[in-house]
Order: sequence, then structure tokens, then C-alpha cells
Amino acid sequence: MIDLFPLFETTSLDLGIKIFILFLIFLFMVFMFIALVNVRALNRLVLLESGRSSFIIQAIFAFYFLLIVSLFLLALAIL
Amino acid sequence: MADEHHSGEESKKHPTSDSVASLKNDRLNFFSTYVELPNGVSYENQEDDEKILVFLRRHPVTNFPWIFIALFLYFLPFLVAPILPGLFETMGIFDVSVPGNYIFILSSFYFLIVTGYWLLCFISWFYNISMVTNNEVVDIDYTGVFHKSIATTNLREIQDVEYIQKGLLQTFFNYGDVFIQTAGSRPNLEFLRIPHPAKVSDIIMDEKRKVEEND
Repeated sequence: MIDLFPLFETTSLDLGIKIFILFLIFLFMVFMFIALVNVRALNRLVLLESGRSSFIIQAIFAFYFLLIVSLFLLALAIL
Repeated sequence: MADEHHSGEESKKHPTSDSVASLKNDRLNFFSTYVELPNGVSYENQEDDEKILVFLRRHPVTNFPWIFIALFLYFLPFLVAPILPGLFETMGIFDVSVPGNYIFILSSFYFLIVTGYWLLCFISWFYNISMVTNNEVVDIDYTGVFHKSIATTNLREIQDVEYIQKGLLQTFFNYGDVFIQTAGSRPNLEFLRIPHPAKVSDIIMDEKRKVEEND
């Protein structure tokens, strides 16, 4: 049997894996933040449906970004 | 499959057909790809007397590949999970255990990445906008988080317009590429995979002629 529990329970390895996962989520968070800023810039550039479409897209993106932030905080708390 | 390849010069042979006059006022909605004289659309640097004649996005059919990929990626863990134990057994590994909190965080992260993928693909389609106004042609390209380009060219600077429809899908769904050749050092514009390419190239050439006649 290959038990991966000890891998996660050994202090140094556990810390390394935790930091690696948190780093990946953080990197993705930054990437999506840049995308969100880009969407805002595009909304200023072209206004669609007198701003209705632009607002919906921006709201969806902002909600998605909040989900990633929540996951990061959750990972920070439970890992 | 033979390419359907037409140049704007061809439409000059029919000066009586005024494609601009036949445009009908349409309402833009969230998923519009071809709208004539759209309401509620404006863009930066638009002149007060400038009117948008046609609003264009890529044809909806072009979205199918990323929609299928995203759906496949959503269902992939559910397809792979049942066969994993058998796969491990063939490799001589009979039991693998990973802490539940890691599984929860990593699987949530996976689904967020897949959601991000289709969201970015949708944004890329949503903001890839081309517009023909009574004064200029505007092409907004958003092909990724780190790439955004906005190109405009005055109708007077356009030398030639041509469109290409190739392949079964483009012929069947009536979409294709429109290439706008500009004078001098200005970059040429491309409206890729837009609906009604023939009509769009006609509109551009007709409006260009109108502008030149008024000069």
C-alpha cells in the first residue's frame, strides 16, 4: 500500500506542498486580476447595450475573482 | 475545398447596388454577432456625428471547440476517478490515500481553472469586435489576458476589400474572413470569421465610395 498521508504529515514536506499549492492558487489569482483589469479597460473602450452587457460581464468576472480569493483563503485555513 | 475569394473591385462593377441604404436598424443583445445600425453601442474616440453601420463579432459556430473542451474538462474527473483504482492496480499500487482537505482544495482549484478557461474564451469572443462606421473601420482584438489591440483606419485610406470563405462550415453557416487593405504604412485590418463577409465587404466599399464622392 502506498500511503501518502506521511508525506503530508512530515513537517518539511508538508510545508513544501502547502506552499506550492498556495503559490499556484496565488499565481492564478494574480492572472485573473489582470484579466479583470483588462475587462474594465475594454468596457471603457467600447460600451455595449448602453453599458448593460459591460456591467454583466464585469460582475461575472468580479464574482469569479472573489471565488478564487475565497479558495486561496480556504486553502490557507485548512491545509 | 475551393476557396470563395472575392475582391472589393468586383462590387465596383455594380454601382447601382447600395448596400448601406438597405441597412435595417437592429437591437444589439448579449450574443449578437452581426447587427446593422446598432442601438446603444459607442466606442472611445467616436465622433459626435459618427454612426456605426455594422457591428460584428466572430460567428457563434467558432465558439463550439472551446465549449466542447470546457464541457469535457468539467466531466473529466468524473470519468477518470472510477478507472483510477484499476489503473493503479495494474501498476502494482493497491491503495493510495491522500488527505481529504488536499483533495477538496485541489479539486476546487481544478474546477475554478476550467471555469476560468471558458470565461476567458468567452471574453475573447465577446470583445473581439469589428465595426464599420460612416467614417472609419474599427477592429478590436482581445486574444488573451496579455494581448489586446485596437486598430482603426479611415475609409479614405482603404484601397481594397476582399473576403474569403473556405471550407464546409464557413460555406454552410455563411461566415468568413474580410481583409481590408489600407494605403501607405498603415496596417491592414482583418475581420476574421465574421458572419455575412460578402455583405460586409460591400458595405465597406459602398461607404468608401460615398465618402470619396462627398470629398
